[in-house]
Amino acid sequence: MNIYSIARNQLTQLVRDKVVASLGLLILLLLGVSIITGISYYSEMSEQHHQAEELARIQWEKQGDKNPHSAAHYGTFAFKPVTVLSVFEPGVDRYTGVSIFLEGHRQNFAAYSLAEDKDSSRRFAELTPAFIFAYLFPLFIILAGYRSITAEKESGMYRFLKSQGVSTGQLIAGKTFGLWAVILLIYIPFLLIGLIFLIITGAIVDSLAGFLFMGFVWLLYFGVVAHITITVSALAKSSGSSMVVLLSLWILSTLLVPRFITNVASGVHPVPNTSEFYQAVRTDLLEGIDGHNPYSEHSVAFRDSVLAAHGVDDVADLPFNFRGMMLQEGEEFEKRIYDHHFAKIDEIHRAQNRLFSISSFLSPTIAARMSSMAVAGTDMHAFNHFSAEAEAYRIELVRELNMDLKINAVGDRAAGYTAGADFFAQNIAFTYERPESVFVSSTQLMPLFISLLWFVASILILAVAARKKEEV
Amino acid sequence: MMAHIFSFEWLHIRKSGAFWGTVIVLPLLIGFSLFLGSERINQQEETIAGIVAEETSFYDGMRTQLEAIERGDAEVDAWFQNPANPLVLGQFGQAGRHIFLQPKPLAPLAAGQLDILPYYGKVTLTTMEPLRDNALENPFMQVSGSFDFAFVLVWLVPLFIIVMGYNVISSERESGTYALLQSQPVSIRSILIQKMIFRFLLVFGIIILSLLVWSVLFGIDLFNIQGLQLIAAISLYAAFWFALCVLFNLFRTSSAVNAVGLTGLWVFFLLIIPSVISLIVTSLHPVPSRALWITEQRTIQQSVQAEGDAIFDTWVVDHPEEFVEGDTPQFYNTWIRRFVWAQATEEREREAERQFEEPRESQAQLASRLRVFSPPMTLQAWLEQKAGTDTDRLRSLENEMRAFQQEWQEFFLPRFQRLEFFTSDELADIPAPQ
Repeated sequence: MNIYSIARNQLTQLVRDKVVASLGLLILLLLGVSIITGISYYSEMSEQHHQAEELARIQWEKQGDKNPHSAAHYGTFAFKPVTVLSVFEPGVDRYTGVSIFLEGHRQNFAAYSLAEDKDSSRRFAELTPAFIFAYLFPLFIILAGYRSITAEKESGMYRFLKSQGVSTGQLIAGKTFGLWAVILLIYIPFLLIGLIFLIITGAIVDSLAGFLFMGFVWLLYFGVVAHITITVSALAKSSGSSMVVLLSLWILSTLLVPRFITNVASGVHPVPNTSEFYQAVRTDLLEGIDGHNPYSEHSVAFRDSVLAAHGVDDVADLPFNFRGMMLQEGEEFEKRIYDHHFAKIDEIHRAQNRLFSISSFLSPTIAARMSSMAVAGTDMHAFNHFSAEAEAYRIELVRELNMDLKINAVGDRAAGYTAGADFFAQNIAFTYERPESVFVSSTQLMPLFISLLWFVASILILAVAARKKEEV
Repeated sequence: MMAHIFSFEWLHIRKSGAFWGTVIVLPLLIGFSLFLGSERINQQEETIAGIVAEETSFYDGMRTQLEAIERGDAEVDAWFQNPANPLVLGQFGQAGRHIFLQPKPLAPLAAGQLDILPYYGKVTLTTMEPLRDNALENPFMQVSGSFDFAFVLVWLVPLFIIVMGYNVISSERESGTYALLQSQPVSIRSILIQKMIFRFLLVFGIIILSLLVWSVLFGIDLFNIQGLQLIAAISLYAAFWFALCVLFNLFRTSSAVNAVGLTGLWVFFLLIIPSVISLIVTSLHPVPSRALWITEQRTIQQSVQAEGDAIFDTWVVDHPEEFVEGDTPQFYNTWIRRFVWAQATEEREREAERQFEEPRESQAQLASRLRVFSPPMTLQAWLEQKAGTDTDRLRSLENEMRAFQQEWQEFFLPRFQRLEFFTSDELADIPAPQ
């Protein structure tokens, strides 16, 4: 009963507090604006994305009669999907390229990130729900809760309550529930708006799980902030020092640790720069078959082995087009080299991500941010999943082209062989499908796990603070 | 009187945790940021030196080989191996020049947009390729941003100032010493101002001292006019935040309210205004999708291809003196066309690129006007500009590359068009960027 009255009293006080109320309204307003602009941006982008996809396919099919291997050089594009949940959590989306050029012989980086075209003021802050939740909402919670216990002490209410038989534990519990109520007062409308938006855009089926997970992740984060706020308020000597301590923690978690750890990570696990990377690839490529150079040592050896296997002396006597075969052989070799080098980069990114995960033991913000990006499908892993699918498609498409050359460019048709619109229209098309499950990689679970740990730990310290006070 | 207040302030402040926290933490943060900055510049300079060395050795090799051929000591079989051929010298493989935006003296202070936009690129007769050194970087880095001096100064210093200044008078009231102050022959206001000046000098001194010491250690040259400008900017920025603290202490509000209010202003200037500005700017001047642009580019290439013969014939009619007719080598016939087509493609693409350039420029202009509402944004923009890592400068790479490409083409193309090969002596005249 005591706990309930305290909680209700706390809620009433906070709602009546002009500063808290107006800040809460401001946050709701910002959330509303960010969702509305996010939606219009999303629909525009996905519209353009679909157009681009269609156009790219038409361009592929209507590329005119040409040697299928020339078509492999002509290439086509894979476009990064625009996900609905990026409206709530854009993650690394703006910093990764929107499209990958798919061609024979090489794996390209995704090109044209949105960040390149945008004004740099966005680097201070960008109005998205994720930004508001990561930075502003914790400040709101701190503001609403920093004096919840200290003010009782400063006004003398604390002793009065004690004499009424209220224990410190009950006071702390009541204050915590009161603060939770205020948080939910803002958060639940947001969740409802989000759900309505998902229903309107028709994305509810595919993204409901991700959205709910995201909602849960942020709720854990708010809980951590709320519990720490009450704990600090219970232990602080004055409201002023409670505020200063909480603000320092906020700065540490949202500003210092994230910037510190990312800059340290790139120093500890450096990625090679682009030219070094390509240099290393080129060096390795010399060690195998070059599909375009029939005179290289490896190509000659390969040719001789094929001739021997078929018991003929000249490639013209083979039952298939040898050039098509060699191009495919070269392609597969090149793919192994690229895969090998990209795997190394991936390993470096994983090592960096591990550091980020470790640093989230110091910063619940990092844990929350990484988890929300993971469930929104806007983190590095989601991007890698897309790149991997695009690469799988590329190698299959190139194989189709080389096989056509190998099988059909024989006999009289070998000289000046071309494939036409019929053939190109039959070629495999790229449609990216996001994995069914919310998580695409088990490493994504780590930050979520740390978020949960933070939540549990924050309850524990709250309990310890309650007990400690009891002894006094 | 001032000396009196200063000495009392000193006795007072050296007992406070906030002060010692500032004395210890701020220099460390500044040191770390400058360390990262100087590392970044070292790496850039290393990259530049490496590329320049490779380029030099390539052209030196070409020259040695050509001299050997001229002496009759060597022979080449194929045209694409002949170092006298303008195409071999200006277009293929390692041929071409890299254009760099050299780091400015203050570059270590602000990483700016360097993690997004390239600072160098390669130019050949037909290509201008900006090279992204960091294409393999983990994008989470870009999301969280650089830990540079600009970050420490723009974001963190105001917080230290708030901690140092939020309760200068209010704490006197709360601890009961306010009445004592009132009984002094000096007005409260003047005591407040002088106390603040003292604290301002302390914070300012800590920043400048650690900036100078670390700069000397990391080899960043600040003893020049730019260094002076920087110090002036820092003093203005610090004064701005101290002035806000003074303002809050004039009201009869409690320390806690002051802390909340000042932090609120910090949030307002550093988070709310920028996010609203970026929202306004991108909504008023939206940049179209690059996904569509990619397919558009291809349409342009196809249209040039489709009109290829017509385009080339027109060119020949317009430039009869630049085309050798008759029995010319196969590579000549192929490449003379490619150059004409490349030029046509480039012209059309530039035209289409405007749909990005125009909104981008309008965004930048509007943002720079709106920025005056937020001193932190103004300072950040100024720092990036001084460091040469702002969007404008990095975007100028494209113009520099284009200007150099013209020079490059003027040197090689006429020779190619007339099919006049180079002699080894002429190789010394191959253009190089300044």
